[in-house]
Amino acid sequence: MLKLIYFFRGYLKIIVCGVAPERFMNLCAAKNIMLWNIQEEARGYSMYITLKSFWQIKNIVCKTSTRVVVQNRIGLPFLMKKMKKSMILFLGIIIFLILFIISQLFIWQIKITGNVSIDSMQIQSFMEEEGVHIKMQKSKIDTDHLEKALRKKFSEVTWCSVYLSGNELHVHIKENDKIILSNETQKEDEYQDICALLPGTIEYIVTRKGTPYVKKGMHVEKGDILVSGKVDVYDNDGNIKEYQYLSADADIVISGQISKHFETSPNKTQIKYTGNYSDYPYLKIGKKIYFIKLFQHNYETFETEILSSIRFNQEENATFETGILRIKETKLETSQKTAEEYTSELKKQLEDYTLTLSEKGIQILSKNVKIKKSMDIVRMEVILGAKGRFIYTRNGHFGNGSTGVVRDAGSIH
Amino acid sequence: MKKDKKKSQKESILAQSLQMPEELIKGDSIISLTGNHKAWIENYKGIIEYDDCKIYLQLKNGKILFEGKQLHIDFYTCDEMQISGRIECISFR
Repeated sequence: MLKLIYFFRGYLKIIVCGVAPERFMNLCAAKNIMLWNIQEEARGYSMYITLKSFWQIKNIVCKTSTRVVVQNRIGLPFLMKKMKKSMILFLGIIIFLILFIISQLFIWQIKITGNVSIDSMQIQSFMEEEGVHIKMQKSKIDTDHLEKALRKKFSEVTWCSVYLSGNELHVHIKENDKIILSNETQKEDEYQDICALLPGTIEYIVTRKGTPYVKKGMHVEKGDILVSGKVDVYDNDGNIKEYQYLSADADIVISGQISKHFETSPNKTQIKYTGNYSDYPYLKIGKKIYFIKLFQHNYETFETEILSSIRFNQEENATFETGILRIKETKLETSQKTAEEYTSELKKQLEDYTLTLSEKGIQILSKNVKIKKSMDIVRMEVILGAKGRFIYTRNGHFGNGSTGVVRDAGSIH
Repeated sequence: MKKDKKKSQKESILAQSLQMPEELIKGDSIISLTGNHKAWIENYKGIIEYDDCKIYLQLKNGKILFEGKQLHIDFYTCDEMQISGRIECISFR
């Protein structure tokens, strides 16, 4: 502690040489001048003395006929003198420290964890309504009130914890584990039929609920009822006593044809760089980008590229980012696509489409492709032979019946 | 000698009656030793002689000599001082 005080005030290492250095020490002590680390050396006696006391020993030196040589200068006053030459560095350090201390008073990130069914953006927008957002002061946040508000707003949240950790606000929630079943109940006066989605042949049918109107091998058209939700109830004589209405349920596989077309442009536009560019330092605070246009650029079309950046935090929409932005001049060139180019583009579209069909459980049996090219467009018409669950359900009401064509209704039972 | 004895007796009686420390009344020096490597001295007049092997101090009532090796003064003020090094002998003169 004492060393720190002496460092701030400044002290010197001196060598006292002469006839009576002991007398010098005694006179210093009499004047309340403290000396420490006194050692005998070849030239004289080395000791340490404070800077303030050093200015007071002039008379003592004269009285004792000694010679005082300053060997070393230690402390902040001497450091400040050296730093005068690099004052900007020193000021920069001070400014950085001040900004750092001020930045510690604010929140720069909100982390939400534990949410499964509730979107983080939903929670964040609710918090903004409650007055909690990034760049606000930490002292203004009431974590208890926020926890209660979150539990009240989102019924799925069973437990919530909001706490501050450094400059981050952590929101940890726990949702209800129970699976919430659908509240849809079938109305008493409705029933559901299963109908064909496209024309084709029934490959496979297994009825679980309802009355089937078709069987394997039959040809059906789009919209035909395959399994009806209306079930006849017979009495002992074989007459229809009543009807029961339910949601039809069956596994049906239909093989049919799907027609689809894909288009692409016969021309292509390429971006070419002219080689001209301009660099600007930029500053991004939140979502806005600010940059100083040191000189105007006259590029009609251009692209921007971030050359280097320093982010305040690692999220995509960093609250504070700075760096160098490069604006490159571009030129658009249009040219004709070759046959290979447009064919591969269309094939890619077809592949993506067949992939989506196969993800839905639809098997592709055959493909018939025709490509037609005109001045404005290149069109590919595809007829896919496919097999799958090409069915849909349709509601029917009592009295109205379900609209649609019914075929061979009597031969199925 | 007799006068000195009487004087010291009077001082002792005075110290006891006033219930004050004797060294304060008599002006005695207090020497505290830590092993043979440190010595804390209070209430002295000044340094008579100082080098690597001996430190000769003037007390109010006499002198004291510290002999040893690599002796140096850690700090020195008007009231107290500390000597460190290898103290081999302390003698009163």
